[in-house]
Formats: sequence, C-alpha cells, structure tokens
Amino acid sequence: MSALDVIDSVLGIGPGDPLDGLRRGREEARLRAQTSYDALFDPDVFTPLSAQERFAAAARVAEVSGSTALTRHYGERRDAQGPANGERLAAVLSHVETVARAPSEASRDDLARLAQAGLTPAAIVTLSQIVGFVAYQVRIEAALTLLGDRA
Amino acid sequence: MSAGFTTDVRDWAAWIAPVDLAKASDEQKAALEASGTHAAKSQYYHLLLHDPQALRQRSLLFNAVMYGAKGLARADRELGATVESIQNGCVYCTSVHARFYLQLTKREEVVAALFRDGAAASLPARERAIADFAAALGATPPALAASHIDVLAEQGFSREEIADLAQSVAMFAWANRLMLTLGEPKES
Repeated sequence: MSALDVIDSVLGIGPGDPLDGLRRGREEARLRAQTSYDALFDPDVFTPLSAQERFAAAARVAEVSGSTALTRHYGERRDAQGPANGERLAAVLSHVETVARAPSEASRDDLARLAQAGLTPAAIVTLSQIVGFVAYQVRIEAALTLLGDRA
Repeated sequence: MSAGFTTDVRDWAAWIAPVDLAKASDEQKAALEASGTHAAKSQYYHLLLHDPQALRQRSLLFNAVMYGAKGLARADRELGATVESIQNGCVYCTSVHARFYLQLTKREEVVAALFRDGAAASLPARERAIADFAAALGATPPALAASHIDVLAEQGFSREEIADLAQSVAMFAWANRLMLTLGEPKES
C-alpha cells in the first residue's frame, strides 16, 4: 500500500485544509478510494494487464473526462514504463475511450475485439474496473474542487 | 426517454465468462462476501471476481458511499444514483436504485417523470436541485458548476451532504460503466 493519497495529491489538499476536514469526515470512503487505486495500480499487485497498459488506459479516461491533473498523474506513470505492444494497446485505448465517453455505446463485439487483441476475461475485468475507477475519481476531483472554492 | 426503464426486478447476464464459484479461491470468496448477500447469486459479481482485490475494495467503497450512517439521507443518494443511471442509459442500475428510492420515499411521481423525460424532467425544487447536480457531475467531461452547489445549499443541504451526493453520483459513473459494458439486463 502506498502512503500517498492520490486525491489529496492531485488537488493539493494538505493537513488542516477545509477539504481535508471534509474528506476525513468520511474516513472509510476516503480510505477505500485509495485502496481501490492501490488494488488497480500498485505495480506489486499482479494483474493480467501490464503496468503500461493500466496507466495508459487511466490516462486516456482522465483525458476524455477533461481532467488535466489526473491526465498528468497517470500520463507520468505511463511514460515511466517500458514500451507496450502497440496493437494490443491500441485496442485497449479505443475501448476505454468509448466506455469513458458513452458507455451505452459499448457492445458484446467490443469485448470480442479485446479478446482478439489478446485480453483474457480477467484482463477485460481489470481494464473495466480501471475505467470505472477513473470515471469515479474525476468526478470526486470536480466536486471537491468546487466545494473547496466555497469553503 | 424510451430506454425501457423500469423498477421491476431485472437480472443481468455477462458477455464474457464469469468465475466458476466451484473453483473460487479463498480471496475470491472473501471478495464476494464483502459485496453483500445479493452478490452470491449474481453473475455480475461472479464476473468481477476475476479481479478479487479490485472487487473487494470497490465493494467496501460502495458500501461506505451508499450506506454510510452519517450525512445525506439514503433516499437522496439513491436519487442521485438513479438520475446518473438514467442519463447513462443503464437500465439495470436504474431498476435497482429507482426501486430503492421508491421504497424509501413512495415518490412515484418523481420516478415516473424521470422515466418519461429523463434527467431534465419537471420535478419539485428539491429533487430538481439533486437531479441537476447529478446530471452535470455525471456528464463526460463533468459539467458541474458552482451554481449547482449553491442551489443545493439554498435547499438546505450542507457541504458534507453535497459531498455525499457527489460520492453517490461518482460511484454510479463507475457502476454504470461496468454494468453497461460487460453484459446486459434480462428479464428475471
């Protein structure tokens, strides 16, 4: 488990800030947002997706969702990884863009394309959780930013 | 709106192979347990068991966000979840959370208006404030503005309660994407 709290880090929340108090008033939600991040992105946690693929997918979701800070967070971690399989990564990024932008447009055929690109059912589930988690995270960031302005 | 929204109980079928419970590891069994009693027979949870660590942490977050004892009334969290689910076209999520909202409030007219006209439906001021906030935050990219928060504050919601509503909407940005892209609802 990393000591970093990603939402605090991205929003620049420090001890004593009004948003720190707001988040700590819901300690379990604060904690589980971070442990969800750890489960999906900790390089020591085995997943059927490479770290490169995980961070690249997250960066794409953040970008489609208009979050500059989270695009930077995940983009830096993506760029720190080695190169990825181009064709497989392209299939991953195309899919996550659809799911982030317009999830009702995704179909059974999209999962078949991921399978053809070499993703196992387990890899598809982890990828879907990453997209969902970042969709959650960008909205927490958006709401806290505005609530912080109104402290 | 004509996406077939309903408060009837729906089932959900995965598009790819779920985990066979007979072969589940102890870690997978623990993750299923953390997800609630309804998870035991749900293909959705059996599918998510492919990544037991992610499922376990997500379920703990979900429970804190939707059932946390402090703050925003449970019915208002369910309304936020319902509006987001309608906006995303998630028939399954809508069926569950509109049903919970109805059970808690008996506000059949609110659900009927949302099913008929979507998130922009004509609603009483308090529900309108929640729906506007949820629809704006649920959009991609999020289109939340200070005015959405101000309107909720005028309706008597505290900052803590507004943050709770944001958690509920954000949680369903996640849930809708799993439900809509890994399988589909079916008659139960």
